[in-house]
Amino acid sequence: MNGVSAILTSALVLGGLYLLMAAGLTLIWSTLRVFNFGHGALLMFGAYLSWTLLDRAGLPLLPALIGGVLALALLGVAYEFLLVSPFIRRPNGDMLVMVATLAATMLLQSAALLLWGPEIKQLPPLGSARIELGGSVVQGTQLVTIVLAPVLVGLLALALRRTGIGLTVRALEQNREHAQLLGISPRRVYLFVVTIAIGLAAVAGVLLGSMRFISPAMGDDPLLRAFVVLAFGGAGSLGGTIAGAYAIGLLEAVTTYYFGLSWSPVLVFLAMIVIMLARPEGLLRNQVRSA
Amino acid sequence: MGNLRAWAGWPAYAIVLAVLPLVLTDPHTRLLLILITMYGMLALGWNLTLGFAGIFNFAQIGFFGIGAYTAGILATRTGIDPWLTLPISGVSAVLASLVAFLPVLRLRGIYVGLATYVFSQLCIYLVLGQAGLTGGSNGIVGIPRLTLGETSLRADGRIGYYFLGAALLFATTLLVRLITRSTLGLSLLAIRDNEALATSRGVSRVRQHLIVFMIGAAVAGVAGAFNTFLNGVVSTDVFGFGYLTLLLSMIFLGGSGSVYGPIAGAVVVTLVTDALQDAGAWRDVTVALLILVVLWIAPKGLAGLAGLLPRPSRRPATAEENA
Amino acid sequence: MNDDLLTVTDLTAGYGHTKVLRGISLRVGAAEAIGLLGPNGHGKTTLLRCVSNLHRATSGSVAYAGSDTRGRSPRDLVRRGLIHVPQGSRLFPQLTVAEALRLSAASSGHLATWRDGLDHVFTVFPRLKERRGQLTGTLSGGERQMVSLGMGLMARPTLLILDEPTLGLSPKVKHELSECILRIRAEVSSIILVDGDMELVLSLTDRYHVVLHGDIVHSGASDATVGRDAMMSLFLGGSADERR
Repeated sequence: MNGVSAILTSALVLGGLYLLMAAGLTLIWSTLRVFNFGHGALLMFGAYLSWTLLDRAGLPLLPALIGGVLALALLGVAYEFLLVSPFIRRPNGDMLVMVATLAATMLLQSAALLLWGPEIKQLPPLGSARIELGGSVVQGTQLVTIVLAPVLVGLLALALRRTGIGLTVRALEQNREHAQLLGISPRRVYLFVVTIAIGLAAVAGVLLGSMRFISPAMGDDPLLRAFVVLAFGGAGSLGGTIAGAYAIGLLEAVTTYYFGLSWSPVLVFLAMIVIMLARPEGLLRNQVRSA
Repeated sequence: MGNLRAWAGWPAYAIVLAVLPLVLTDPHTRLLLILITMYGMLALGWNLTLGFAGIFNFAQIGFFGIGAYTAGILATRTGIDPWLTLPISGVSAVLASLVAFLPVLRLRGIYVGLATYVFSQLCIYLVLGQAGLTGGSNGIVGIPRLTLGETSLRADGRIGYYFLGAALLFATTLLVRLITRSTLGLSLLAIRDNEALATSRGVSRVRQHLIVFMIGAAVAGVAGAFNTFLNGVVSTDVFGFGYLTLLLSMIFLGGSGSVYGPIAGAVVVTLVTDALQDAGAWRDVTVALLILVVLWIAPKGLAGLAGLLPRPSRRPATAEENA
Repeated sequence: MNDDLLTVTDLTAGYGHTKVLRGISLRVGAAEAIGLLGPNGHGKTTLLRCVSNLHRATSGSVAYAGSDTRGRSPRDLVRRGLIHVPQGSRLFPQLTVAEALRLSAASSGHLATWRDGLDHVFTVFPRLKERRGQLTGTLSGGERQMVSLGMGLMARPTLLILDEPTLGLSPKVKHELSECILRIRAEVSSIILVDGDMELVLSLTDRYHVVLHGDIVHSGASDATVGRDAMMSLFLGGSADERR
């Protein structure tokens, strides 16, 4: 029985991390119709920024982490201005944005190497709370991840549903031209969306930087998993993304447990390819839509 | 086709390729020339799908790596003539492209980019997972050199590798030129610019895209094998981000919309990165900024900037002729 | 002339190599309703899209409330009361009627008083009150038009542009809707109305223009019976010509 609870814990932690990444990518995709290939590098930058505020500036843990997330969200403003909006209305804009965000990944990764050097860093555990879950102990950052990720994304879903800006975001997704005629400025909405998405990536970076290590390439794996989540849940629906993130988390936890670390990604990606072939619009899309 | 003026540039191109190593004899410059031929070949082959056909194909780097590993494995584990591994690598990359093409069957645009990007990354996991065959994270070392008779291609400042690379680049350029002027090329343009119209005229998107996908993969596979023999080692770097961004910068700097632009991009980017060899991470910063600046101020690249290259404005015209 | 609300001067526009507008000029006074008539595909919608800056004109100018609109965002124009109700909008399928109406109030800067606006819209379109919680994607064509017009009202228009409000509706629904437009007419300062129903346009406006091949070929006062026949033949002749 210990195996089952270990798998479940791992699934909830991984699912939470992927959720933070994929929710941002989904939000960007559904409003801007582009994919941000730089999302993994932004996650990494968020972790480094928090580490700097904590270790170099000497801030206490919580302010340092929040500061890191906010600083990255600010970077997100520049990101939108420099990498997304110059291309988005051009012919073939989605490919230009893809290439631009790949270049941004390279830029951020080498900038991280220059700024923080090659030695690996780590954030301390976030909190000391621990609970027992069916025989295995969950504590510290893992526990925070299990709770924080669904809460943050749930708040985002609620905000999209209930607030004025959320209404604006949804309107722009659904009918761009009419939204403009109502006085909605796409630029403002884009900026808002990109900032929120990058903020969520920074949170994932902080969590990952505390559970594992901080390195320039730390965002590559989560980004790929987030892609799989989008294929699974259907890019563009937040409900599908939530279900997809935890499904992929579970799949990865199960395959890692039974087949080992090196085969798990292969199986997960094969699942993605099969889903993309069978249901290009995402496995969970319709069920979620009608719910 | 067929008119003399259109082909007049080709002997000149061949002569330039043949004479360059005789003028530039310094070993380091020679190595740069070799890298240019390889990158030029890769960029041209990739641009067939990425620029010309407008497919978001990011599996190309996977085909390159698969070619590199095929050559490495065959040359170290079997007694096969190393020269034969070049075409075999091309074939194995083509076989891989059949797998990578599966998502293209049903997906469009950016989703293809997502799936093919994942394909390339998947290659890394497969190589690491099959450590018995691939050497895992250690890679494959001790790959035999290519020889011609008794002479190693490494002799005389690697001049043999240069001529091999130059011949491959010339052949690739010719291939690209023939494809872009053929009915295949025209139908690819038609699909890219107006898929609904093209398919209503009986053009099969899947078939034409598959053909160009396989051709591009073959070029990348052979280039991968070339890279293996040039370096004498293979590691998972061949699937890495470094090659991906380097090639993208060449394509977009040269002009993804032009036929020969990527060669110009390969020349410039190879020289720039070499000049910054000792700058460490600053080199990558520079390459990344180079891509961004090109995208910002000259989205058509060098080819669009000055109209210097043979046919920068040819594509829209062809699209119209075809419509 | 100076107190015209809208002045369009020598406007040309097109898509790619296709010219759609060939130097159109017109003006709309304060407290004036004008109608645009003419067959489809002759530039009426493009003209309206240029006025609300959704489409960029090739040359010529548009002045609204005394200042040039060049370079202004559609958002800017909305906040100054230029409200464009587009043709055949599929609205926002996943928003409810009430959400769509609130959205329009919010994005035009009238969020504080949106409930007053809502009450007002519900008196003009009582049907929408019953449908307030329904997703706009599930409404009938006539109801969707009512939401579209209602969203226009929520933005407190000074100049209301209506592009084909009765397009594709059954005669009965059309009648119901034109009653509503008549009521709107009484309370909005100025209106530009485009509709395929000539009688409707003439009964709701002060002046009309006939747009053919991207230019105004005929103008007149809507209440004058004289000239209607002439206009009719122009109109029909134009469309016959267009059909070839």
